[in-house]
Amino acid sequence: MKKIKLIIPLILLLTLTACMPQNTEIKYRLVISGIGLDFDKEKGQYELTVQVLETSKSSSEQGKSETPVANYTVKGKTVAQAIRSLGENTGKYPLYSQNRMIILGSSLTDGQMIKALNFFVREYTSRPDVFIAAATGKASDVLTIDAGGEVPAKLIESAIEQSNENSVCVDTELYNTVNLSLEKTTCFTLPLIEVVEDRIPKQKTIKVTGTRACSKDVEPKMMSDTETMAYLFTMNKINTGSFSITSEDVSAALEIISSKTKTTLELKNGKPVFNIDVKCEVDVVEFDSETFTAFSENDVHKIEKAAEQYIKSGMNGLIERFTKKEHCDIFRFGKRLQQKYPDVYEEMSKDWKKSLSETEVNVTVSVKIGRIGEMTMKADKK
Amino acid sequence: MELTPKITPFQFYTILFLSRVFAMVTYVASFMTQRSSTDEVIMSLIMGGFLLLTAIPTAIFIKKDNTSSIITRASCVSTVFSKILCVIFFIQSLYFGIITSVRFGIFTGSVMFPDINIIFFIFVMLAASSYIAYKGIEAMGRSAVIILIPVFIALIFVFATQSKQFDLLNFTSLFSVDIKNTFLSGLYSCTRTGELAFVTLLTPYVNNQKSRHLFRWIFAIVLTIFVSEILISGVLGNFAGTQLFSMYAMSVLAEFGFIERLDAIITCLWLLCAAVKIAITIFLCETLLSAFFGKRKQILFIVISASVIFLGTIPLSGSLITLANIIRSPLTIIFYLASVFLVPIAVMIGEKIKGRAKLEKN
Repeated sequence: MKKIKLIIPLILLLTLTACMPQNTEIKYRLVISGIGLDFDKEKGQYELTVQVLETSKSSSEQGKSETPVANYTVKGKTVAQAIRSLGENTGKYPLYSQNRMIILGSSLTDGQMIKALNFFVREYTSRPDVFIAAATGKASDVLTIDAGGEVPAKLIESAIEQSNENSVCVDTELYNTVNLSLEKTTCFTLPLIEVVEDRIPKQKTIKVTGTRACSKDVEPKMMSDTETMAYLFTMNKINTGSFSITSEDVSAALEIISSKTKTTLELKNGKPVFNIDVKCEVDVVEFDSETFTAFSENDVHKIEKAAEQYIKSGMNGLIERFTKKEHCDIFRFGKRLQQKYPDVYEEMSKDWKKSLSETEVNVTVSVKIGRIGEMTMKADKK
Repeated sequence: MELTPKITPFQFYTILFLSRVFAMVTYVASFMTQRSSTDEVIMSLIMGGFLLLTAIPTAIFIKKDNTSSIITRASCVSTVFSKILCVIFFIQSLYFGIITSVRFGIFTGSVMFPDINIIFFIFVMLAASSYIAYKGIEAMGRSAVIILIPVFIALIFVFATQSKQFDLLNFTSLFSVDIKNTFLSGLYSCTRTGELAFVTLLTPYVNNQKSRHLFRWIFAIVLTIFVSEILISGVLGNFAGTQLFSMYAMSVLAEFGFIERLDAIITCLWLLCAAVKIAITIFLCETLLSAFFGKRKQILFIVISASVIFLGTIPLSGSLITLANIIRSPLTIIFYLASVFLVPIAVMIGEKIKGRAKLEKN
């Protein structure tokens, strides 16, 4: 009995190893760190640029400036077919669990984007929190930038995270995109990335330039970074960030400390009215003055008013554009209506574009200045 | 005389809690209805209501006598009746074990090793569970309490880390799919708590069991399911409907600071819950066979029970549609209601009639 007790663990130890089938060993896997998706309209095929980590080379084998990744380009009628051909070409099995980024090229229509994402939702090793971004041009160009020895996909992910922290970029993960794309009336949004050329040193790098609003039945719409900030204010998704105000009386740079947006919905004459109330706290980080003199309480009041006007006009402009002109519900107004008045929604969603353009939206903004920096305040003249 | 090993009510209900947690993790919402986030939350409350209602006979049963099992008490009414009950409960336990093994197979085959033959994993799990069952209820109780600690931490961790992603806009309007479907889903969800039948069957193994322990267990289950449904709906929204195991999908998202990939550890905990669930089922099968034959042959009965579960799992493993059809069948409700509602009531009525007849005879 004692011998059996010794033999059994020994057998288990030798037979139940994690890497038992050959294809699970790391050297037989393509550890994917980023995927770029483009569409070849002529051939009607998806063009995938797959960035994989170089697992076969040790760190000592790699030069410091050498990027530790390899890029492969494969094509297929479907994403699955293209990826499968990648396995056939390299003799390795793709592993998606380390994938940080899926970049969708401008050649993809919104419908194709959603179809392409289907694969990543189903694939068991793909993570639901992988970042999704749209490129202004080709996704392959974004993914193959020179990251100076870093993994480009990681660099892009960091750029998106940082831009989101500064409230100039939406932060979209796979599960969020899928969630919004499944809402009947909502247009989902993706961070927009473009490749820019640095002068010194002369190399290509990436920049987060705003947002792409996507929906199956409307053309993709782009938002600039200031519009993105207005959008984040509307959606209560502001983190930190800064903006400048310039008016006749005052000019200053402000840093957002906190912001809270509350959206309420009521029915007036059977039509929905959305009331958006923003409460924001900012710090003055720069005040346009030639004399370094301290500013007065009156100046504080003026800055607050100008900041309120800046945020309000930005939000109103964006809401006007997307509800009346673009007919694209990026604000989830339809979803809010469905939650509160499902019967009204049922009726209005039949022609949501028209209903959206007739929707009344009221914006109120209240800005409070927290800190004014190290300079003192002077008393107002009475 | 051989003494019956006993565990504390806390240990016993910990086993049952872990067992139900595995059912929660492997719950496939799309089996029942088109997923609607708010309705899923309401469904968990309806489930709680049904569970409370169906637990009343069990509560009365253990209040009257918390030392004898339902089989022993049925044998006082009639030996034939107790033998019939043994057979009914044995079939139900096998059914419970088979469904759990199939769920385990689909879970491991979908989220862990889709390229590998899951029959092998089911075999390994059944072998491990049989060994746990062989070690007895005391070992099971102690292990369950140890497993509960990381499971509890994992649940709190998942709930806490995901609460910042929570968005009220992801909820739908109330009963947006169908009110009837929501109630039906609540009832089916209640039938997944087949562990309720274990309470009357394993009474002799639990020291000084009270009704309050039973209700605390129900409260813990409903609260866990309710909170997880709220978070799944608020965090994942419509995405939850695209996932086979929405609770697992949410646990994959859990990260804290630099600790990003904890899903592998959390998945191991779900598997431990599966082991506990299958082990207690096999233990119950062995107890029922011993009661039926009137003598205890522990290893033989465990091997027979595990083998039948394994053989029953093979044709069903890997087929989601078959599993969905079985779970949706009225048989599930009949089995559940018979074991937790009708049989305890029947035994108590039998006892009353027998008691009255005895009185009249005297």
